[in-house]
Amino acid sequence: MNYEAVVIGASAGGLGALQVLFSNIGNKFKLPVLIVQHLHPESEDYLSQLLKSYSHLRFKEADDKEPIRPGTVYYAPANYHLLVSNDKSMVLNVDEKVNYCRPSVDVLFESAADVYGPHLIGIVLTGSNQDGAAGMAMIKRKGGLTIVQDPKEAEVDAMPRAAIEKVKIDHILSLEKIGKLLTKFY
Amino acid sequence: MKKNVLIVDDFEPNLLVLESILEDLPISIIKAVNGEDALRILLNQPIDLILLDIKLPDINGYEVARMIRKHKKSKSMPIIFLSGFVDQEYSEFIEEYSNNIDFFQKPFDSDELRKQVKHYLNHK
Repeated sequence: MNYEAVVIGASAGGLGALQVLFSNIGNKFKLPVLIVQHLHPESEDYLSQLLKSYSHLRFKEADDKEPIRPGTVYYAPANYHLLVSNDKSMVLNVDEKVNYCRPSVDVLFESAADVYGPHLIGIVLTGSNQDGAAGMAMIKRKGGLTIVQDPKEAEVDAMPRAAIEKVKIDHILSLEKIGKLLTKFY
Repeated sequence: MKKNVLIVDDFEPNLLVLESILEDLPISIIKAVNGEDALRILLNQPIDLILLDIKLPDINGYEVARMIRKHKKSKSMPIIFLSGFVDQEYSEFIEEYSNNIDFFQKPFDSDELRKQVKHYLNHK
Protein backbone atom coordinates (compact mmCIF):
# COMPACT_ATOMS: atom_id res chain seq x y z
CA MET A 1 0.00 0.00 0.00
CA ASN A 2 1.87 3.03 -1.19
CA TYR A 3 -0.24 6.08 -1.67
CA GLU A 4 1.63 9.17 -2.81
CA ALA A 5 -0.97 11.92 -2.75
CA VAL A 6 -4.49 12.90 -1.74
CA VAL A 7 -6.82 15.13 -3.76
CA ILE A 8 -9.92 16.69 -2.20
CA GLY A 9 -12.84 18.47 -3.83
CA ALA A 10 -15.33 20.58 -1.89
CA SER A 11 -17.88 23.24 -2.67
CA ALA A 12 -20.75 24.70 -0.63
CA GLY A 13 -20.19 23.85 3.04
CA GLY A 14 -16.59 22.92 2.29
CA LEU A 15 -14.83 25.29 4.64
CA GLY A 16 -16.52 23.80 7.68
CA ALA A 17 -16.00 20.28 6.33
CA LEU A 18 -12.28 20.87 5.77
CA GLN A 19 -11.93 22.11 9.33
CA VAL A 20 -13.51 18.96 10.73
CA LEU A 21 -11.52 16.75 8.37
CA PHE A 22 -8.12 18.27 9.17
CA SER A 23 -8.79 18.38 12.90
CA ASN A 24 -9.07 14.57 12.70
CA ILE A 25 -5.84 14.02 10.77
CA GLY A 26 -2.96 13.12 13.09
CA ASN A 27 0.43 14.83 13.16
CA LYS A 28 2.34 11.96 11.61
CA PHE A 29 0.45 12.31 8.33
CA LYS A 30 2.93 13.03 5.54
CA LEU A 31 1.18 12.66 2.18
CA PRO A 32 0.78 15.82 0.13
CA VAL A 33 -2.84 16.98 -0.18
CA LEU A 34 -4.23 19.07 -3.04
CA ILE A 35 -7.58 20.79 -2.53
CA VAL A 36 -10.05 22.43 -4.85
CA GLN A 37 -12.55 24.38 -2.77
CA HIS A 38 -15.04 26.34 -4.87
CA LEU A 39 -15.98 29.87 -4.00
CA HIS A 40 -13.46 30.58 -1.33
CA PRO A 41 -12.62 34.21 -0.66
CA GLU A 42 -9.86 35.64 -2.83
CA SER A 43 -7.49 36.72 -0.08
CA GLU A 44 -4.44 34.58 -0.63
CA ASP A 45 -3.93 33.01 2.76
CA TYR A 46 -7.55 32.80 3.88
CA LEU A 47 -7.70 29.00 3.79
CA SER A 48 -4.31 28.61 5.48
CA GLN A 49 -5.32 30.94 8.27
CA LEU A 50 -8.58 29.12 8.66
CA LEU A 51 -7.17 25.60 8.67
CA LYS A 52 -3.93 26.25 10.55
CA SER A 53 -5.75 26.56 13.83
CA TYR A 54 -7.19 23.05 13.36
CA SER A 55 -4.10 21.18 12.28
CA HIS A 56 -0.32 21.00 12.53
CA LEU A 57 0.08 20.42 8.80
CA ARG A 58 1.52 23.06 6.52
CA PHE A 59 -1.13 24.82 4.41
CA LYS A 60 -0.38 26.99 1.43
CA GLU A 61 -1.93 28.28 -1.76
CA ALA A 62 -0.53 26.42 -4.78
CA ASP A 63 1.89 28.32 -7.03
CA ASP A 64 2.37 27.63 -10.71
CA LYS A 65 5.23 25.12 -11.36
CA GLU A 66 5.65 24.53 -7.62
CA PRO A 67 6.90 21.02 -6.79
CA ILE A 68 4.53 18.93 -4.64
CA ARG A 69 6.15 18.26 -1.27
CA PRO A 70 5.16 15.78 1.43
CA GLY A 71 3.49 17.01 4.58
CA THR A 72 1.98 20.00 2.79
CA VAL A 73 -1.62 20.84 2.00
CA TYR A 74 -2.05 22.92 -1.16
CA TYR A 75 -5.22 24.60 -2.38
CA ALA A 76 -6.11 26.14 -5.71
CA PRO A 77 -6.16 29.94 -5.81
CA ALA A 78 -9.54 31.51 -6.61
CA ASN A 79 -10.22 31.63 -10.38
CA TYR A 80 -7.42 29.23 -11.39
CA HIS A 81 -7.58 25.60 -12.34
CA LEU A 82 -5.08 23.50 -10.40
CA LEU A 83 -3.50 20.54 -12.21
CA VAL A 84 -0.70 18.06 -11.54
CA SER A 85 1.96 17.76 -14.23
CA ASN A 86 4.00 14.66 -15.09
CA ASP A 87 7.00 15.78 -13.04
CA LYS A 88 4.72 15.98 -9.96
CA SER A 89 4.66 19.72 -9.78
CA MET A 90 1.54 21.87 -9.90
CA VAL A 91 0.24 23.89 -12.82
CA LEU A 92 -2.23 26.76 -12.61
CA ASN A 93 -4.17 27.96 -15.62
CA VAL A 94 -7.14 30.08 -16.63
CA ASP A 95 -8.60 27.68 -19.21
CA GLU A 96 -12.36 27.65 -19.63
CA LYS A 97 -14.54 26.82 -16.67
CA VAL A 98 -15.43 23.14 -16.27
CA ASN A 99 -18.84 22.36 -14.72
CA TYR A 100 -19.22 26.15 -14.50
CA CYS A 101 -16.30 26.12 -12.09
CA ARG A 102 -12.75 27.39 -11.98
CA PRO A 103 -11.00 25.90 -10.12
CA SER A 104 -12.70 22.63 -11.06
CA VAL A 105 -12.47 19.44 -9.02
CA ASP A 106 -12.66 17.29 -12.17
CA VAL A 107 -9.68 19.11 -13.70
CA LEU A 108 -7.53 18.47 -10.60
CA PHE A 109 -8.69 14.87 -10.12
CA GLU A 110 -8.25 13.83 -13.76
CA SER A 111 -4.76 15.28 -14.06
CA ALA A 112 -3.72 13.78 -10.69
CA ALA A 113 -5.14 10.36 -11.68
CA ASP A 114 -3.05 10.46 -14.86
CA VAL A 115 0.13 11.13 -12.92
CA TYR A 116 -0.36 9.05 -9.75
CA GLY A 117 -2.48 6.16 -11.11
CA PRO A 118 -3.16 3.65 -8.31
CA HIS A 119 -1.17 5.67 -5.80
CA LEU A 120 -3.81 8.38 -5.45
CA ILE A 121 -6.64 8.87 -2.95
CA GLY A 122 -9.57 11.01 -4.18
CA ILE A 123 -12.09 12.51 -1.75
CA VAL A 124 -15.32 14.37 -2.54
CA LEU A 125 -16.91 16.44 0.23
CA THR A 126 -20.03 18.56 0.60
CA GLY A 127 -21.16 20.68 -2.37
CA SER A 128 -24.09 21.78 -4.43
CA ASN A 129 -23.07 20.71 -7.93
CA GLN A 130 -21.67 17.67 -9.75
CA ASP A 131 -18.04 18.68 -10.05
CA GLY A 132 -15.75 15.82 -9.00
CA ALA A 133 -17.91 12.91 -10.19
CA ALA A 134 -16.06 12.52 -13.52
CA GLY A 135 -12.74 12.98 -11.74
CA MET A 136 -13.60 10.22 -9.28
CA ALA A 137 -14.50 7.93 -12.18
CA MET A 138 -11.03 8.54 -13.62
CA ILE A 139 -9.29 7.90 -10.26
CA LYS A 140 -11.21 4.63 -9.89
CA ARG A 141 -10.38 3.60 -13.46
CA LYS A 142 -6.67 4.14 -12.79
CA GLY A 143 -6.83 1.98 -9.66
CA GLY A 144 -6.78 4.75 -7.03
CA LEU A 145 -8.86 4.79 -3.85
CA THR A 146 -12.16 6.73 -3.90
CA ILE A 147 -13.78 8.09 -0.76
CA VAL A 148 -16.90 10.26 -0.45
CA GLN A 149 -18.20 12.13 2.56
CA ASP A 150 -21.33 10.43 3.83
CA PRO A 151 -24.17 12.44 2.19
CA LYS A 152 -26.17 12.01 5.40
CA GLU A 153 -23.79 14.32 7.25
CA ALA A 154 -22.78 16.60 4.34
CA GLU A 155 -24.03 20.16 4.66
CA VAL A 156 -25.01 20.00 0.99
CA ASP A 157 -25.31 16.46 -0.34
CA ALA A 158 -25.52 17.00 -4.13
CA MET A 159 -21.81 16.68 -4.84
CA PRO A 160 -21.24 13.52 -2.77
CA ARG A 161 -24.41 11.99 -4.22
CA ALA A 162 -23.37 12.80 -7.79
CA ALA A 163 -20.05 10.99 -7.24
CA ILE A 164 -21.79 7.98 -5.66
CA GLU A 165 -24.25 7.76 -8.56
CA LYS A 166 -21.56 7.94 -11.22
CA VAL A 167 -18.89 5.72 -9.69
CA LYS A 168 -18.82 2.59 -7.55
CA ILE A 169 -17.13 4.47 -4.73
CA ASP A 170 -14.85 2.43 -2.46
CA HIS A 171 -15.84 4.02 0.84
CA ILE A 172 -18.53 6.40 2.11
CA LEU A 173 -17.49 7.80 5.47
CA SER A 174 -18.01 10.65 7.91
CA LEU A 175 -15.40 13.45 7.98
CA GLU A 176 -14.14 12.18 11.32
CA LYS A 177 -13.59 8.68 9.93
CA ILE A 178 -11.96 10.00 6.75
CA GLY A 179 -9.51 11.99 8.90
CA LYS A 180 -8.70 8.97 11.05
CA LEU A 181 -8.32 6.78 7.99
CA LEU A 182 -5.93 9.19 6.24
CA THR A 183 -3.75 9.24 9.33
CA LYS A 184 -3.26 5.50 8.87
CA PHE A 185 -1.96 6.06 5.33
CA TYR A 186 0.95 8.27 6.40
CA MET B 1 -13.43 -7.79 28.98
CA LYS B 2 -12.97 -6.47 25.47
CA LYS B 3 -14.58 -8.45 22.68
CA ASN B 4 -12.34 -9.67 19.85
CA VAL B 5 -13.38 -8.78 16.32
CA LEU B 6 -11.57 -10.39 13.41
CA ILE B 7 -11.57 -8.41 10.16
CA VAL B 8 -10.54 -10.18 6.96
CA ASP B 9 -9.76 -8.47 3.65
CA ASP B 10 -6.88 -8.88 1.21
CA PHE B 11 -6.82 -5.17 0.33
CA GLU B 12 -5.06 -3.38 3.15
CA PRO B 13 -6.82 -0.01 2.71
CA ASN B 14 -10.12 -1.82 3.34
CA LEU B 15 -8.80 -3.18 6.64
CA LEU B 16 -7.78 0.32 7.64
CA VAL B 17 -11.23 1.64 6.73
CA LEU B 18 -12.89 -1.03 8.90
CA GLU B 19 -10.49 -0.21 11.69
CA SER B 20 -11.33 3.51 11.41
CA ILE B 21 -15.04 2.74 11.55
CA LEU B 22 -14.83 0.43 14.56
CA GLU B 23 -11.83 1.51 16.59
CA ASP B 24 -13.66 3.66 19.13
CA LEU B 25 -15.85 0.71 20.18
CA PRO B 26 -14.68 -1.25 23.24
CA ILE B 27 -13.22 -4.05 21.12
CA SER B 28 -9.87 -5.51 20.10
CA ILE B 29 -9.44 -5.62 16.34
CA ILE B 30 -7.47 -8.47 14.82
CA LYS B 31 -6.65 -8.33 11.10
CA ALA B 32 -6.17 -11.07 8.52
CA VAL B 33 -5.34 -10.67 4.82
CA ASN B 34 -6.48 -14.06 3.50
CA GLY B 35 -8.62 -17.06 4.40
CA GLU B 36 -5.81 -19.21 5.74
CA ASP B 37 -4.58 -16.41 7.95
CA ALA B 38 -8.13 -15.95 9.28
CA LEU B 39 -8.58 -19.65 10.05
CA ARG B 40 -5.21 -19.82 11.82
CA ILE B 41 -6.20 -16.88 14.04
CA LEU B 42 -9.59 -18.46 14.75
CA LEU B 43 -7.90 -21.63 15.96
CA ASN B 44 -5.52 -19.80 18.23
CA GLN B 45 -7.62 -17.20 20.00
CA PRO B 46 -11.20 -16.54 21.01
CA ILE B 47 -13.05 -14.43 18.44
CA ASP B 48 -16.48 -12.92 19.12
CA LEU B 49 -17.34 -11.64 15.64
CA ILE B 50 -15.84 -11.85 12.16
CA LEU B 51 -16.14 -9.34 9.31
CA LEU B 52 -15.31 -11.34 6.24
CA ASP B 53 -14.59 -10.19 2.70
CA ILE B 54 -15.86 -12.70 0.13
CA LYS B 55 -13.23 -12.28 -2.55
CA LEU B 56 -10.05 -13.51 -0.90
CA PRO B 57 -6.96 -14.65 -2.80
CA ASP B 58 -6.79 -18.18 -1.40
CA ILE B 59 -10.01 -19.61 0.07
CA ASN B 60 -13.16 -17.57 -0.66
CA GLY B 61 -15.17 -16.05 2.18
CA TYR B 62 -17.99 -18.61 1.96
CA GLU B 63 -15.54 -21.49 2.29
CA VAL B 64 -13.91 -19.79 5.28
CA ALA B 65 -17.39 -19.36 6.81
CA ARG B 66 -18.27 -23.02 6.20
CA MET B 67 -15.13 -24.09 8.00
CA ILE B 68 -15.97 -21.74 10.86
CA ARG B 69 -19.46 -23.23 11.15
CA LYS B 70 -18.10 -26.78 11.22
CA HIS B 71 -16.13 -26.11 14.39
CA LYS B 72 -18.09 -26.62 17.57
CA LYS B 73 -16.74 -23.52 19.29
CA SER B 74 -17.58 -21.23 16.37
CA LYS B 75 -20.77 -22.78 15.07
CA SER B 76 -22.84 -19.77 16.14
CA MET B 77 -20.17 -17.05 15.87
CA PRO B 78 -21.66 -14.01 14.14
CA ILE B 79 -20.30 -13.55 10.62
CA ILE B 80 -20.76 -10.35 8.62
CA PHE B 81 -19.90 -10.83 4.96
CA LEU B 82 -18.57 -7.81 3.07
CA SER B 83 -18.69 -7.77 -0.71
CA GLY B 84 -19.13 -5.54 -3.71
CA PHE B 85 -22.10 -7.60 -4.92
CA VAL B 86 -24.66 -10.13 -3.72
CA ASP B 87 -24.22 -13.41 -5.56
CA GLN B 88 -25.95 -16.75 -5.89
CA GLU B 89 -23.50 -18.36 -3.48
CA TYR B 90 -24.76 -16.09 -0.70
CA SER B 91 -28.33 -17.33 -1.15
CA GLU B 92 -27.04 -20.89 -1.02
CA PHE B 93 -25.00 -20.12 2.07
CA ILE B 94 -27.87 -18.62 4.05
CA GLU B 95 -30.13 -21.54 3.14
CA GLU B 96 -27.57 -23.75 4.78
CA TYR B 97 -26.61 -21.50 7.70
CA SER B 98 -29.01 -18.69 8.52
CA ASN B 99 -28.07 -18.11 12.13
CA ASN B 100 -25.99 -15.00 12.99
CA ILE B 101 -25.16 -14.19 9.40
CA ASP B 102 -25.31 -10.79 7.81
CA PHE B 103 -24.22 -9.25 4.54
CA PHE B 104 -23.07 -5.70 3.84
CA GLN B 105 -22.65 -4.62 0.26
CA LYS B 106 -19.71 -2.30 -0.41
CA PRO B 107 -19.67 0.63 -0.20
CA PHE B 108 -21.58 0.07 3.02
CA ASP B 109 -23.16 2.53 5.42
CA SER B 110 -20.63 2.74 8.22
CA ASP B 111 -23.26 3.72 10.83
CA GLU B 112 -25.31 0.64 9.94
CA LEU B 113 -22.25 -1.55 10.14
CA ARG B 114 -21.34 -0.16 13.58
CA LYS B 115 -24.90 -0.72 14.73
CA GLN B 116 -24.85 -4.33 13.61
CA VAL B 117 -21.43 -4.99 15.16
CA LYS B 118 -22.68 -3.57 18.47
CA HIS B 119 -25.87 -5.62 18.20
CA TYR B 120 -23.98 -8.88 17.75
CA LEU B 121 -21.50 -8.13 20.51
CA ASN B 122 -24.22 -7.18 22.99
CA HIS B 123 -26.24 -10.30 22.33
CA LYS B 124 -23.53 -12.85 22.67
